[in-house]
Amino acid sequence: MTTGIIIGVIILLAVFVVVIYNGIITRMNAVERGWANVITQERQKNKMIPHLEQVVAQFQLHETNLQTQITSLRSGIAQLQSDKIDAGQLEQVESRTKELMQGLNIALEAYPELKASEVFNNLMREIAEQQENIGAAIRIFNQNVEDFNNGIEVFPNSLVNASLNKKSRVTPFHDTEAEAGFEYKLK
Amino acid sequence: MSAYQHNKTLAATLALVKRRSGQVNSKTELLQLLDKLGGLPQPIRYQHLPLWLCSAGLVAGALSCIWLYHYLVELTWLPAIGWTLLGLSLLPLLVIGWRYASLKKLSRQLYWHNALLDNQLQLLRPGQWPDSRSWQQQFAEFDRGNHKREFKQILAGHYAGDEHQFDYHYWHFHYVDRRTVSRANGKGTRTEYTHYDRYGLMLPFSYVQSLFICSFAPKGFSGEKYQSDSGRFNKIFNVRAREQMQAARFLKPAVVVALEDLAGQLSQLNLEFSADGVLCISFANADLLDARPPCGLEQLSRFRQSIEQATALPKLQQTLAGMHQLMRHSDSNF
Repeated sequence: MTTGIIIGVIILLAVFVVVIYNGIITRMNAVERGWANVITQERQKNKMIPHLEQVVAQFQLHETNLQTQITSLRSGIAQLQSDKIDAGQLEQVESRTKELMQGLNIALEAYPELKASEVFNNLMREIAEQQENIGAAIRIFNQNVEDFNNGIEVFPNSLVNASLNKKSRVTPFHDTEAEAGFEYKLK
Repeated sequence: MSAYQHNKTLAATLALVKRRSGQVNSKTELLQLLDKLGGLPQPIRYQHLPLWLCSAGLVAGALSCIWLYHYLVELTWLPAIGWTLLGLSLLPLLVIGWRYASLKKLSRQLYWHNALLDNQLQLLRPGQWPDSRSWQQQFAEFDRGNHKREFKQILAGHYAGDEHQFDYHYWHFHYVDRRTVSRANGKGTRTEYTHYDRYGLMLPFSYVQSLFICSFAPKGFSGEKYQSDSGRFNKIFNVRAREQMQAARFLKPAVVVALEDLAGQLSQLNLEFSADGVLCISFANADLLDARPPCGLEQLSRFRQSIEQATALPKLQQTLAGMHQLMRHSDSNF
């Protein structure tokens, strides 16, 4: 009878550990999938680069910095790797996109005929939607990271992780440029 | 003017306003209708003093009968008369209550009508309804209730967004489940009927077909399973599509996040895209068209002011803006 109870408890504990172990793996996979999704969305920007170059050529915007900003963005996107979570590189690409957007707005002021261009307006709409998608993909990634970090840090998951999974905490994406505008800092 | 005359004029005017309120097609007509009440003595209310006195008199009569029976004469029919008078004394109070409630109901009805006008909505009579039978065949959403299924209300509306505009229908669907349960004492069975309500919008959506994003599954929920990249989305919704690729193309990150947010506002949210480009969005919230007046018709000038201002239906507008966002992310910019 006692042996039966002991065996039962051991089986129950084993099942419990397996469930937690698999939960951590599933959450880690979700984080990786979320990251791959962010990279996929970032690479969507490559779709608009030919259109941007077309605008630069059509309106002879050579004296602006747009061409340099486009090249810089293109190389930034090329350096992103879907199998390696690198929030720093992502931040750089986002920063280059912001610079490009600012460049486009300056060009819009300097060349009023751009406002009437259908290609340019479509381009601006596409960029805005892509930025929304990237923002949403980053939010999804951060949600998945939060779930994963909770999954390895709460008790008794922390015990299972320390002895079996051995996964470390993933850093969520922070927009340091936006954070610089706030007096409050998260310690 | 006597109280009787005042009440008679007021009742006739209110009846006229109530009758015509259903035919009003513009805000100007609605304000003109309110002006008919402006000619009455203010504040708008019935004079209930005679009814209060009548009720008090009947109560006094009833108490007198009981007192007489106990202390003076022992007539056996006196208590019966007393109880009858006491019962009758409730009638004036019921009339007062009914008048108060009907005035309040009319205020809400007029304000709601005003909200419909402000939001380009039109309440359809059953004869004007679209083919709701074809809706029931087209969408698994209506495959609910083993006893009764019926549409209670359908309204037609129009939404004009920055990039897309569309006509839509708002609907209220009622269904009843019947089940046989054993009696507590174990002797035989009894039939139980449970009533449910679903609300929703029907609108054209040609960018995706045969996809069901569901947080409250009906019976006919089928298709290839798809999971998004968001753990939170996957906890809220189950997704089925005729082809997984359809779901993958539609569920861009911005759409996933928009649907997560929408699910925070609407409970038991479902989105069903038919094979021929119609979207049926459904939920359990009954308050999408809720518009409560800040005051009743008694304060006519304040009520009129509230009618003059635009009345927002924030939940409806948020839902429509959400649908517009889905369209914006699904269309092509080039």
